[in-house]
Amino acid sequence: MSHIKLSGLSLIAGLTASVAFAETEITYWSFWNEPEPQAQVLKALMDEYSAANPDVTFNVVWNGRQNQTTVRNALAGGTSIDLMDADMDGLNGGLVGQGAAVPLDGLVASDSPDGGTVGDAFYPALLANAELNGSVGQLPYAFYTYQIFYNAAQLRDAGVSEIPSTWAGYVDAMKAVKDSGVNAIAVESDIAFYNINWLNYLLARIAGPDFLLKAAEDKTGETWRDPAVSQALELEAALWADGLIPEESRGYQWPAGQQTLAFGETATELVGSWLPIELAEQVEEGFEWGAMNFPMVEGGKGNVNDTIIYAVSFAVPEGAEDAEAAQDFIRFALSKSAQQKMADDALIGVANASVEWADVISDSREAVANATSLLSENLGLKVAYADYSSNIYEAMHNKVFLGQITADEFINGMVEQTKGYWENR
Amino acid sequence: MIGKRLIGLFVAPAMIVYLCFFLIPTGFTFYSSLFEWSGFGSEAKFIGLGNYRRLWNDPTFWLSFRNTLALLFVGGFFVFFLAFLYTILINSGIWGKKLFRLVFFLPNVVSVVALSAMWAYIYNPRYGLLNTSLKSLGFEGAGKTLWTSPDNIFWAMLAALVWVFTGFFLILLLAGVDKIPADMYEAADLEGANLWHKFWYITVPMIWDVMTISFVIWIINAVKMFEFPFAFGFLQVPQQLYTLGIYLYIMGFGQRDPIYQLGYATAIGVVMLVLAFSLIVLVRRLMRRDQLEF
Amino acid sequence: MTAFEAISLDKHYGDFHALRDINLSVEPGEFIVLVGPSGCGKSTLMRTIAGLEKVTSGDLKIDGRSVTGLLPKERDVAMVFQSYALYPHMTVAENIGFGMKIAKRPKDEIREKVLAAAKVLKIDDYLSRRPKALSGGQRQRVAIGRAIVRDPKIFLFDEPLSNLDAALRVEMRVELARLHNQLDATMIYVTHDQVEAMTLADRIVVMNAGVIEQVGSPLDLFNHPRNKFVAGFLGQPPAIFMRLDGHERTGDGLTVQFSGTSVDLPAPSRQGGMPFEIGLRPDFFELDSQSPSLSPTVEVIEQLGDTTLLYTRLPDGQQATVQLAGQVKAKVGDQVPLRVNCKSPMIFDDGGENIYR
Repeated sequence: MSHIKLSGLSLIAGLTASVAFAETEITYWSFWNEPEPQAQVLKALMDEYSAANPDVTFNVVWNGRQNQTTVRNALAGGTSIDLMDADMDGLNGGLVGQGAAVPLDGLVASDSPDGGTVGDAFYPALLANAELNGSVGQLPYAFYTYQIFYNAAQLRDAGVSEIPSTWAGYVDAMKAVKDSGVNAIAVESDIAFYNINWLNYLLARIAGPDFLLKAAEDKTGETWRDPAVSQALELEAALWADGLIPEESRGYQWPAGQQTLAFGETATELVGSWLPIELAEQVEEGFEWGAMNFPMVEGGKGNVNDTIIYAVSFAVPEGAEDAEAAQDFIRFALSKSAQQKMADDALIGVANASVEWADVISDSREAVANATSLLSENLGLKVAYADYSSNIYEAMHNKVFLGQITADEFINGMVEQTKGYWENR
Repeated sequence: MIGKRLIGLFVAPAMIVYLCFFLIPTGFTFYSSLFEWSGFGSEAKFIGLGNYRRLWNDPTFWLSFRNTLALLFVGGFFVFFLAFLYTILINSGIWGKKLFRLVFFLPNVVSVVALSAMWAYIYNPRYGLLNTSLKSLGFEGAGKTLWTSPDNIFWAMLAALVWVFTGFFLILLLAGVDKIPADMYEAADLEGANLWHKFWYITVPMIWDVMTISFVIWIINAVKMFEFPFAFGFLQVPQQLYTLGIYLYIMGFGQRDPIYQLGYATAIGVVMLVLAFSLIVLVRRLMRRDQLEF
Repeated sequence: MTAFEAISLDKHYGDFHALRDINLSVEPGEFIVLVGPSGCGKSTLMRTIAGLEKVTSGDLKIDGRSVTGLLPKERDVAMVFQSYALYPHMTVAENIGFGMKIAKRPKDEIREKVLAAAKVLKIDDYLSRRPKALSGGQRQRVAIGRAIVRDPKIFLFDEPLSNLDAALRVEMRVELARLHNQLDATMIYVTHDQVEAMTLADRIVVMNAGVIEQVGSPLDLFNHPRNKFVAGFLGQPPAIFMRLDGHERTGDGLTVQFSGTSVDLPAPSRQGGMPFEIGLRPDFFELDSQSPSLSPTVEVIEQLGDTTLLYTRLPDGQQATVQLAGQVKAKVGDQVPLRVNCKSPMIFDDGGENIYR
């Protein structure tokens, strides 16, 4: 408790120096649903902030995942919203990308209650992702990593003593798992945005993280004929062919796939770091979670430490009546004590690099700490060409991944559809 | 003439309401579909019929359109086939008429999310009710079917949807059947009519109006079908389940992607409106008939 | 052989005992009318004959063959419903030919038979009309036509005239009587209207509370009702009943006293119980200004032209309906001098049974 009080005191000190807020009500529309632990943490933070700043109160609307859409419609209707949050890519493709958010560069450069600037506290790679066209329009406060999550005991039992860092090593390890009588890899057939990470990672490892955006932006579509694509498709197809992904997974509707992990039937799943929390109630006592980086494909141009993330950021909509107060709250929410509370109570990764994460996702923190760069979902495609990303890229991949079309059909289809996409724009 | 003026006076409020809440919004919808607009503060850009040209060349739109038609016709066929079948059976004088009515109608009062969770359980490849039942009945091969694999998921969803909607239309049809005097059937019994004769020569002609309304309601429901396939997709609706309604939503509001193309979405909405409207006009034309008195 | 026979028929609806021990046999070509107040079981009996209701126990025979377990269509009966049950979406011809159509009879045969039936009923001009374009009487004929084309062993009529107006009802009644003669078919007819019963029936079956009270020819029932219920049910205006103040058996007859008068009657046809009430039909009263035995006060007068109806009250407060031949000049409040002439005496014992039957 003592450090909270301390930070509160230092905050008051900081505030009295800068602005005095008179009777301010911050209208906050949230990306979380009220019962979620993240919402509970945010609630506690707001209470704490109000206790330290008696003139500031909060008016919260818990909208859940469709928050940005709801905020958009409300803004168009003339509602004033001071603070909102959404996923980072969504914001860069939406509110921030459309220039409807207040730039937060000043906030990044301002003093943090923990000493140094607000920006200093971030994982540098994470803050870099928040930047769009040379300006920061959103500040991430929590995030998930996409990694291969595993049941450490099952890997040990299969004789996998060292976590593989190469594709060949990974495939061998998975084969060992399979031979030990456990399914190697879990897949949810209907969730395209889970499955797409196989191709995202393979392309990033083989051809580098910029390749995908380049392929999408090639108006002839021909970049899709690059050998990197067919190699990536071959590698993922081999996982099915070798029985590392059970054929039955084609019929798994979420959460059927991940439940096989909880039941001890499957050892690994390529998924976001929310998995240990989602399965917390279902796994047995003492379940040992591990997460490994997506392996490096031998001879590839990418970096094994690059990790795809899904972050949640605050943004201040243009025209907010209390933009200043909202930014001050963001500063507080990014402070070490506030971030620690988020990490402890919501079991989610946080933006402040000095904060320890919960045990079940400690491997994720390590990956982030070692990452040279953090990649956004679909390697930036989601932000730049959201409709292409969802309607063409993810949808086509799910077909080839689940064996509805061949690799050639996928490549030809991507060439065609990319061309069509640009012609039709 | 005073009479005419008076009629005008009485009709005026309804006309004004109709104008304000239907015609003007419809017109505005069409107008909006001529713009490119994200919905965020920025200016909407007039692009004429550009959104419609894009739709014409958009494979995902045609996929959604095909799915909607499949839902409308294939789904409609089974919904009404079953609704009529149950109408015949329930009306054949078996016990428990009220119970069956309740059982069949129940899905309509349960939230679609709960329903899709239930169907996910039924369809689960390994633990699912369907496959375990098939296996226990000795159909080992059929019991291994992956009902929700990408090749089957649309039809699996459609089957569940038929199950949901059959009850609703069954209630409508039964309400119509209940209005048919019992002695019509008794007279037919004496004349030697079997269940099919009674259904085809008495029930169908005498609930013709109810059928017309039911078809119209189905068309409206099917063309704007959204909730059930959407909920069936849980975290993310797979493209196999896209309907026009879902594609509209994805393009206008994003699901988990920042696709914010309101003008384009509106154009999809206009297509849905035109589709529903023309089908309704067609059905009403085809089924037009004199009013019955009985 | 009997055309129809009911043997110890019982029908329960849950606790309600709708038919009790019904025994009835009908000769071929007979016109039987089931009559009784609403809820007496007459319609239920008809519906069990048709097979629309199952019997709880007992047996039904048509032409000597037991049909108790058979479906309606297997019984070879035709029924004309009170509502006519015409199909509104079919033309008259289609309505009449419906049974033949679903039996897949050749089209020519159907057309021929429909036309023949329509001619009998004089509706051959309306064959292509829908029921809603017909008058009530015409609809009734269509319903009958539907029965005729089937040439059934038994025709069943369930209050067929009750939806028609009075004039039409009389017309159709005559029409039905004529039709019965023409077809020489066995007909069972349900009505609550005793005039229809009296005019149409070869034999009347009077029912009450699920029981057959009496079966017999109209006049037999009218003149010799078995009990007070039958006596009160048949006859229009209905008979009145007066408590006897006393009675004495004489050598060859019975003298009864009631309402301050005394009437000599022939000997009862059976012993019966203690004479209790006298039944008086309105035409049992005659004008007698010389030596009136009763002089009730007129309360209401109805002049019917050929007869005059007087609703009167006797000095002891009892009411009497009096029907006098011709046009009787009387005013409300007049005392009319009357005597009693029991044309067919009705004396009911303490059990309600007529001792003159």
